[in-house]
Amino acid sequence: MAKITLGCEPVVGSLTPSKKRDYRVTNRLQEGKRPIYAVAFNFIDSRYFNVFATVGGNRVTVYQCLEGGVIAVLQSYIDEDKDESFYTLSWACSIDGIPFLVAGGINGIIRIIDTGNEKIHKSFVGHGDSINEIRTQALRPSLVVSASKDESVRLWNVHTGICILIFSGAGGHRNEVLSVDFHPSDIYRIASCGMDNTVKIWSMKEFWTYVEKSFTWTDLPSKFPTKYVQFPVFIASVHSNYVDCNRWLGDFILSKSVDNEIVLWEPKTKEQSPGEGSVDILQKYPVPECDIWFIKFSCDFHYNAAAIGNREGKIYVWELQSSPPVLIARLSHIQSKSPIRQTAMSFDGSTILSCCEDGTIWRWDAVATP
Amino acid sequence: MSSERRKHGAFGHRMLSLRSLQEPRSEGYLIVSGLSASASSSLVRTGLRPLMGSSHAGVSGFGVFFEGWNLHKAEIAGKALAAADGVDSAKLVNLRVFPKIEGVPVSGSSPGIPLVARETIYSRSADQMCRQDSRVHLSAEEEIAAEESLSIYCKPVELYNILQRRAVGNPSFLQRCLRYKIQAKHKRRIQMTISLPGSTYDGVQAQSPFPLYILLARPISDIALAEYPAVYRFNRACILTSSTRVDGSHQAQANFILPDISKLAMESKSGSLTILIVKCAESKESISGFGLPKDIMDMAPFSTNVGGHCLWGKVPMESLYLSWKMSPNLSLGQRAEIISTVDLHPCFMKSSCLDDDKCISFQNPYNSGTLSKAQQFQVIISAEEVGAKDKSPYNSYTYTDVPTSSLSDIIRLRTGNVIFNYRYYNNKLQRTEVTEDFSCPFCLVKCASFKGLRYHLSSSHDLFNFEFWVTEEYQAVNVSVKTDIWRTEIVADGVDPKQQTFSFCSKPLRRRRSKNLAQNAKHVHPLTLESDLHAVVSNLGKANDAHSSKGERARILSGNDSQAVPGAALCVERVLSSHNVPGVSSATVQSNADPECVQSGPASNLAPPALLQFAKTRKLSIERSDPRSRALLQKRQFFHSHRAQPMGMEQVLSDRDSEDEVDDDVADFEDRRMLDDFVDVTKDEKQLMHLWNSFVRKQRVLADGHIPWACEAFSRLHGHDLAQAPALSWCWRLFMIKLWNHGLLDARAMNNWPAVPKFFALRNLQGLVLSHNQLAGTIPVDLGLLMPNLAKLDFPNKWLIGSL
Repeated sequence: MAKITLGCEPVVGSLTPSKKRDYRVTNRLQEGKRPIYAVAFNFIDSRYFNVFATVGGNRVTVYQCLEGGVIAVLQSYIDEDKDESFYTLSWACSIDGIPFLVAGGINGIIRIIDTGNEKIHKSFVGHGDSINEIRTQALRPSLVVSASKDESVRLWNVHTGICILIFSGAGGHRNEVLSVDFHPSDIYRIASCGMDNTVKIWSMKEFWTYVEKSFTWTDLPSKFPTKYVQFPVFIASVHSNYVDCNRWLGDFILSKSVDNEIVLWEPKTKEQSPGEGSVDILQKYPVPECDIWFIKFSCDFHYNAAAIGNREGKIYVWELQSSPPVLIARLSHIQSKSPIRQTAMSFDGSTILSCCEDGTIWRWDAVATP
Repeated sequence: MSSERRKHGAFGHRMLSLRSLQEPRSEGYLIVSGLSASASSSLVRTGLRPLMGSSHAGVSGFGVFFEGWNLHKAEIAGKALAAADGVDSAKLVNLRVFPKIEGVPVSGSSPGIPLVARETIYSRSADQMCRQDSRVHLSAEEEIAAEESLSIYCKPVELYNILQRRAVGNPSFLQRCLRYKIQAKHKRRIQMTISLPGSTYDGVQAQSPFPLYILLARPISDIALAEYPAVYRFNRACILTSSTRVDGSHQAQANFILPDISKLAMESKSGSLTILIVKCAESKESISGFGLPKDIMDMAPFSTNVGGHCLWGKVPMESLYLSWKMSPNLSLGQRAEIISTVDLHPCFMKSSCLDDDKCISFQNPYNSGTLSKAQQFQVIISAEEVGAKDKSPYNSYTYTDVPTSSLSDIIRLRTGNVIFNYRYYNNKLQRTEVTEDFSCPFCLVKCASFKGLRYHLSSSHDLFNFEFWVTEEYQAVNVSVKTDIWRTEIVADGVDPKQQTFSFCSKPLRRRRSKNLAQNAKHVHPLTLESDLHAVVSNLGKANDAHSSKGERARILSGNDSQAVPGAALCVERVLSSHNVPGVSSATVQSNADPECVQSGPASNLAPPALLQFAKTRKLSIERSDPRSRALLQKRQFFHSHRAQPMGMEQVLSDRDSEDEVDDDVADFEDRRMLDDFVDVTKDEKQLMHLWNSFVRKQRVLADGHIPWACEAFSRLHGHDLAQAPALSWCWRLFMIKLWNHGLLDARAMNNWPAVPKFFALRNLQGLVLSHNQLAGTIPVDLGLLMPNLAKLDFPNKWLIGSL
């Protein structure tokens, strides 16, 4: 737990909504009976900024947000294994720019769906247990990173199907890894967090040759010299419970545990001794009734705002980059009572999607300010 | 084949050959220098027929005439031919890489001569050895089948190409011998033989000229006056004894080796070489009276300082040289004979040994009347190039009707030419190739002579059968592939050779087995061999007849396979016979296709090797279980132990096991990073720690007992780096002392390392002890005990201890 010195107390945001923006429910979909764990807009390809996908059970569905709150179903994929339960998804694309949908779940198999050709592109096996989160490197959208229950984080090349790096070992996570994220500008950096209550920052700078090599690899993927990255460059103990979501905000990290809040903090690495360092907690974004794990927040493209659901089906939209933090809106609907596992903000934040434990998808649209 | 067809073929050929000679294409028609058109047509008349007439090439026995395509451009004749012939060039290119041979005065000298598919003709008169254009008209399927059967040459040739590359650095004994022979031949030395004609001396000479001494000598002073003796220096004297004593027809002769003709020219011009003929007046008995053993009796009068009356005469080398030069024979590698009359004068001979030189002096006697009178008789002096030719019918060909001006070229071109006929398609077809300089077509080794080629082929290329033929007109080798030898390597499509049962076939140790073998006798070598070999076989058979069945005998034959393959024996035997009889009929070889015998191959020359019955039926349990476990392996998916990536089947079945591998790159990287965390350690110390850690990891230094070895190996491995960086070597020294301090390192072992004394140089000694003191808090009580080599440096031990 980070020590908080006098005069360095974090700024806690006020729960009074600023009413800067107002959101209304415009649509509600019942996808099925099974919980929907993830929803994500496609930020990789500007042509498809209004396309989003959800995963629930053994199903992956692609939708399009149309004008007037209309949601159109574009594609739906069903895993042959009925016991598969997808937990996460991410948009990626091949080197040729074909949009890929990368999904993973309880089976530990990462499915690469070629949405351009509506077929499975590849399936990655390698994780020893279920996959909790997949993220795409926005600078190189063929690279995805996956966090797994097997306490490892793996870096993959979806184009060639190669497992490039495995972040685990002596310095790795000691429990399930729940969330992982690429640094927005430093292509070598990732942050991961999990059930060992830590957030770990990894560098793949020394291994970048292997990343480059993976793009030209033509031999069997099992012959690729996959490297183990055993030691993170930074280990942060910000939370005292499971850390189930973390995102980079510039060089700062947003992370949340089951403490009804999102924390923004700065990792301060010491030049002399990597691995150690101190944490400066900058701000806190309170989210009431958010005390169960596996609730993930999401941000718009520019990380201006973050939306997070809670156990009671309410959504809190925080302005991230202001100090003190400003609560943009608190979204609630009388019929939305089920825990919201994940939200998705559209490119400009005008649309917020939420996916719920009861298998519903809610669409909230910003009301034009008068 | 019908004789009619053969005749037709011969006729067709003749027509074609005439056409090819009369209508030469301007570009592709190569003309031997100095060989005019009339000469070439005269060649045809003399029986040097074009080797093969086809649409591509009309080739004479010399391999001179090419038609239809330009050889100037064809560096590898075979490639071009393959293209022209419509044959898959990849298949044949190995067969057709010809050596570039120097010194052949053919414009655009390309030694290779195209291969042309022809039908094999079984009856071979000497005339038909170089066969006519009897290109068989095969159907399309047959042609494909024929091409396929030709491809059986590919594998052995490939193998020999590999072997050839290996042999470049380390040539075999045979090749070294042959190389020596070629070198000897290049020196073109002349062997001079001096003999007496059997009949002449009867009339001319009253008494027998024997014993007669012949010397090749250099004059020291040539003037044989009464007061000044003529003195000659010589190396060797030959004695000619009575010819009648040995054999009536056989002439005694003296042999000398002379340098080649050009050197001889210089020698003879200076007049420094003379042949001396000496007839001793004393009888032989008197010489042997010296009590010399008979074998050195030859030299008796010349080896010791003796003197005596004798008759002597000389033949100046100059006259010999001039007459040799005139005669064309010598330059053509033939024998040049001169009959020369020698005047023998009486004189007093005295021989002496001065220093190493043996000298002989002749002095005209004052009273010549008392001595025997001067005599005159004839000697035959013949000369030929050493090793210029072997006694073979091919070389004894008489070149009639050939102008002498072009003869030497023709002979030089002709001598090394060997025709190779490659049989395929069940010996029905053959392709022909001609190599020069007795080169082996497979590995391009020049074999100096046909005999050398014969030995080379049968010893180095025993995957083929060879038949050797020498006639006056041709030197030819018929080649066919021994199909049975490498049958085991041929696996049907879709069969994994790894899963094939490996059977080891050895000689039966006990006779009891022979009964078992008798059942398999049908599979075994039905050989009908040449008469020579027949005897061998029947002898072998006889030896075992008493207690062995037919099968046993067959076993012996196949047992020979391992040492001398019967095919090779066949070749050798046939060669021997072919010397005498030019047109021997080939061995008739059949194989009875036995329906029971699974491995019975095509009706090839040799039968398959015997396979023990039990080897086929009874497999070892491990072999039996292997396919099953293999099937299990193939059924399930395997994952890499490190990467957890699904592995391909070939990766699963490969020998590599990654389970306990350590990724050294990552380990080094992490080690470095771990060391970087230390704040109280200098850069050099970190570097040494890193080197040591990675060394220990890579070399798996696990136990205390490994440390002495590890230290020694480490100082050897990084000795250079340590020497370069004093600070680093300083760290290393400290570390070793620490190890010694912990009892992990033996001081004596440390002392004995060759690399160590220089580390423990004198000037660092004080620091060493100091630092040791700092580290351990103790002082080495007796440095001499610790490191005797250091004690030898004459260090005041007291001072060391005392000052600390």
